[in-house]
Amino acid sequence: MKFICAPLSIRKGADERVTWAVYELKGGLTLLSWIQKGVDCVTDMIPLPQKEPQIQSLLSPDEIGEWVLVNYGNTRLECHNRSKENVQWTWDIPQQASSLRIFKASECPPTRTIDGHVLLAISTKAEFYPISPENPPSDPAVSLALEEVISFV
Amino acid sequence: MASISTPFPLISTSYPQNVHISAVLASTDEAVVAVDGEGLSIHHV
Repeated sequence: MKFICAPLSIRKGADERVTWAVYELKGGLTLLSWIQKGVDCVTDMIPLPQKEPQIQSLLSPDEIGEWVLVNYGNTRLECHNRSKENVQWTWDIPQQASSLRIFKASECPPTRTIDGHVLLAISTKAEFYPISPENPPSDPAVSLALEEVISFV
Repeated sequence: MASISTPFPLISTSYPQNVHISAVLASTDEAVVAVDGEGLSIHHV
């Protein structure tokens, strides 16, 4: 068993953690969800048919843990639910990104007026997309030159 | 699957290449560790 990228874990209360990971075994990729609540443990495994481009990271769209975004090489995102085998949605990132991050919109000055979470895709510019497990992103809510982003740091 | 525990220090230059570590979201003092061939574990740091 070989892990493909860093796992994603979310703390939900004092004794509950939801953890996602992708591993390769006998040439196949599996998305694993592991819920540890006290001494109780539940795992679910979802086969991932696609191996290319290589999975780069796992992202949480809402910090709840029911859903995870599989990031294929910063070019495509797939949204998975731990209890469903089918992909909820896929999204081809319009511009090849060098970095993807998700955070609460209220925590960042350029997106403070947006509800929920935003995906920041860094390419030749910084684009902030409202994101949710239900639907893929559409147009960026905010698009900034990288120099403008630095002014917020 | 490993349970929540702290069997060894998290930051070490002797870690092999087959270890992935990330911070646990919504936690200030936990990390999740994936070790090839072994599994996942969550550690207090």
